Amino acid sequence: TKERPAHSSTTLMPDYICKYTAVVSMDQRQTYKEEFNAEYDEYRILHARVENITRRFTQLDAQCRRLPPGTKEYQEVHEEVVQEYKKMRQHSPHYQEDKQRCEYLHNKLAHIKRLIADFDQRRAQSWT
Amino acid sequence: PVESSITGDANCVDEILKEMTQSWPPPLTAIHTPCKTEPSKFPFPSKDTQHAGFTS
Repeated sequence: TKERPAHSSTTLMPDYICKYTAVVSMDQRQTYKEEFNAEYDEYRILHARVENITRRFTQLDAQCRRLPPGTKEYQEVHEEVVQEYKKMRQHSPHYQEDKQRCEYLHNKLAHIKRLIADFDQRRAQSWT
Repeated sequence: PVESSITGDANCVDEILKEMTQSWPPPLTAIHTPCKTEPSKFPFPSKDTQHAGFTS
């Protein structure tokens, strides 16, 4: 099997929790923001890729639910699901890894963003 | 994941749809400079104008 992202262990905390702690200075804010931006593009590309595939299958799922079982149309949509799945496996053989990586990046970047937002909020309050 | 020996029977389609329609959160937005919360008497150099949307 393929290598898995560092967060996949269920017993350990994700690595970024220890690495990124509360922001206490503008320099630290800047560093965190740069590290966020360094991975943000990769995150957006992976996110869009998974989103497109999920949307396509969600549409097919909705079609399946609308059609009465046993009809020709129902069977056709079922076959389309299978074809679409085969196509996806061919075009995106790393779909599962991409998705896991994207989930990891989502949580990590959300964590960094939250730390920066907390810092900004504390700073804003100290001025009022 | 569903195995590649897919035949198109109902169980297999259900499996595919179950796997492929798991909810997916909207993307995180970028980090913006908190310029609105900064007092005007204390201007910062505009390092981050590419994210601030000053296009006019």
